[in-house]
Amino acid sequence: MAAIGATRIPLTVVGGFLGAGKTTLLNHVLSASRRRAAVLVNDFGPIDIDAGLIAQRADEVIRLANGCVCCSMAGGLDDALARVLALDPPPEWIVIEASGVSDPSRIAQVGMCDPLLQLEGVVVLVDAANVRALADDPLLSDTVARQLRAADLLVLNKTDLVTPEDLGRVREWLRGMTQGAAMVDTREGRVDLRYLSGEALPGASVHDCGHAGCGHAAHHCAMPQTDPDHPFQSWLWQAPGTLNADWLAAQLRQMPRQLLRAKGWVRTDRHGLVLVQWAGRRVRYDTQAAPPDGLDAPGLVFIGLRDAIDPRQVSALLTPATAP
Amino acid sequence: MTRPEGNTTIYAARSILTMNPAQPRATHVAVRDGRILGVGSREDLAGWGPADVDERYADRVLMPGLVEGHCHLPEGGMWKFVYVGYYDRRGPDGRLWSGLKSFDAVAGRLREAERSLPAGETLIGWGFDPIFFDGQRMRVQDLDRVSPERPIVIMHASMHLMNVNTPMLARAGIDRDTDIEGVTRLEDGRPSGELCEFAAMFPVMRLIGSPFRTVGLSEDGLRMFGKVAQWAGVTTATDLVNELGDEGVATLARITAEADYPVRIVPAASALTYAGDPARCLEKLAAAKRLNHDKLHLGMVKLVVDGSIQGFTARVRWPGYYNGAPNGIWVIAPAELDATVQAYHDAGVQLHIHTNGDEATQRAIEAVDLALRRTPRRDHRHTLQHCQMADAAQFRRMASLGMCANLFANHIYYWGDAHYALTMGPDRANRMDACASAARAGVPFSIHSDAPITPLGPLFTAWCAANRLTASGRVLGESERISVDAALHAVTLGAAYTLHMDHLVGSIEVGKYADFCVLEDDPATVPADQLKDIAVRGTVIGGRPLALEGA
Repeated sequence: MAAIGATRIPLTVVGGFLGAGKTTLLNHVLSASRRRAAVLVNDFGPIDIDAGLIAQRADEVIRLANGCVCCSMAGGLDDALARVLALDPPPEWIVIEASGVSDPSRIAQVGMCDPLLQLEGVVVLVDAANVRALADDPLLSDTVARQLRAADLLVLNKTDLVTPEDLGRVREWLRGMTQGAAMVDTREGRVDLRYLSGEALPGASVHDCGHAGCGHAAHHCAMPQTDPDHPFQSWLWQAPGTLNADWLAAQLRQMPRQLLRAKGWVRTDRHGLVLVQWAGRRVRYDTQAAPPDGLDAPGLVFIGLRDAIDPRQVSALLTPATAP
Repeated sequence: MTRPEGNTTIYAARSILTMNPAQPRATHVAVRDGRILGVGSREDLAGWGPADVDERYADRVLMPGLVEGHCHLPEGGMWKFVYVGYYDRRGPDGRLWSGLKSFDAVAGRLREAERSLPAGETLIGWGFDPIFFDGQRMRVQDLDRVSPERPIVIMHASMHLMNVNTPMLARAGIDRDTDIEGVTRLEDGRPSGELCEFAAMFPVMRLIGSPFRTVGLSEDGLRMFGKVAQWAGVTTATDLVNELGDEGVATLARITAEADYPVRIVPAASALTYAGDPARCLEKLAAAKRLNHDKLHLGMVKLVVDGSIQGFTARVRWPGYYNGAPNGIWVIAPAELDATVQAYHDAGVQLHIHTNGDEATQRAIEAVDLALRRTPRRDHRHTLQHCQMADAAQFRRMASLGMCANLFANHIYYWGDAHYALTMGPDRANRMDACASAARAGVPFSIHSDAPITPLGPLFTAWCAANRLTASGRVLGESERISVDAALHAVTLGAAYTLHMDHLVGSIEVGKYADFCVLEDDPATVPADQLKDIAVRGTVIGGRPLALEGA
């Protein structure tokens, strides 16, 4: 088991109603992840892993030749998660499938609580052709709304099954339901895995950029920023002096929904120099992480939807943040 | 048919309450080969030839061994941990653990247990419920007084919450900066030690090795369950969520086969474990059934539709929760429920379907209706478990579909006041767990404890159904009270019927297993309000008298 103080394992929770395409996405993770991923699924049944990729199959765990494992939650989420955390070597990424009727944020919060884990985000798949009908079902409307509200990133799937006009209407409706949560389109569950995992933030502590005192408005990251169709932008917000920890946490909780993730080193009244993780709309001061050498410009790297958010909006929320 | 050849034992009793309406009373029961050979007077049994007459129960009352239609095997293994509940509870050793009415009392019992625990081991308590402390919540300081060094974990009765002390918080890495919903806080923002639901509890569960799911199926856990059942007069009990793990089922088959194991166990396969794949569950069940014997009866399947009412996770119909809480959760999506019910129904198994709220009940009834339209089937006895909020119309529909109900009568006492004030409001709380409505509609019904959620004790459960008193002494819906006779039927033949075992257990009748509950007094003649106080003096399983061992 990974010791406390070791690197936390990134965690992504994939939610969405039955039929939204979660299984296809998880298959994609298992076959395409460059990191050794452990994928926790409700049921092996629909998971259709190419037999040639399977290295070893037991009752509750399937090991793949590429180092990924798929673990059944038949014995409960507690057991399955404890089991993958005990793997040697530990997985480099954990992906949990939330059941089709559950609220993925309830699961995701474990990634902001357990010292072995770091939440990267809640991804909710949406069946573009069917989501409105589900939301109109009186037995399901509250369940669907809870799932949509839980999303850091909505993946609008099966976009090939609806007309462009209907797609536009679904997008508009989803923005209304989620106060504009970040959204990407896909078909057949194939999403750029960097959107789902911590890879979007390349160790995103500020010093990694190599530009001490870096003031780039659009900070570079692993995403192809030059691609005008790329859905995300990232930038650095420079932290002024020492911040009040409770105030900063409260401000971060009010960030606009178009933001996905933030991370970086800041100095607070309670912690001194500390790593801030903002994911799942929640804040973690990671006091286990050792500050990097030569960090002279504390700040947070933000990732948000391109053209949907103005970094100045974020700065405004954080500007009066000086210690009392 | 060969004539039974074994030795005959005739038990004489002060009175025998047979629960067989054709012969309600007797003084003697003859037993051969573990089965009931004859019932009546000494003279009535003379024709069976020479017999040993056993007078040990001559001053006692015998009734059929009690049948618990909804409990779980961890009722035994949980006793490896320290009981810190609010109400008195009898352990496997027969000791009556008094209910703890203050946090100091909880700390006191934990301190006592702490002294005999090896250094470094986590102290674990169970059965705690803050609902009984007038809004006060246990704090980290209450448990730090037990030990400032040793990690301590107190599981709540619901198993959805826990309290821990400062050393456990530190190990779990939970501090004032842990920004998640399930971490309850003190006024100054530090964690209070109360952790709610999966995300907040997981770091602790991981550290203690999640013992609660498996503790019931360990060998000593099973033995403890047998002892708890004996003290409650229970000779047939369900294990209503069994994952059918190979090792667990093998252990269960081996231990229950021992001649003096005191209970027949009726597990229900957990469909949730095989989510979306009934075929695999059925295959596993068919294999497990090969291990069946007189005291192990695998075959039923359990489904769960919603959560709990007191946890506000039950799916309720309009107008919803009395305090305005949002509607609860589906554990299985409605459309998936239809398909799942159909698959198991078509395979011929009996379903036990957990529904607490009336919206969940409605969906379960509709799913069974659909399955029956496609595949008509007589005598399926699909049973709604808990079924706490069903109204008269739902009971009528259940009756017309041939469904049964197993109502959670113990809830009336333990949570009835909360239902009255918070969850359902007076009108609907007064018709919760509506035994009289079920009877009027003609729904075969049983009543249950859901042990370890509430203590195993069918006579107490019968008392709840007959009196409908809450913990504070309120009568919760006088018109839903049932007679003592009806309540006793519900914990014997009624429960046996919901398990498809009424031809084997539930009454003292010729040919059935010789399973008896030995009582100090006659439950049919004591006043209804004393039903719960009748002392159990032992049980007989398959004709073997078992003495109560312990304190």
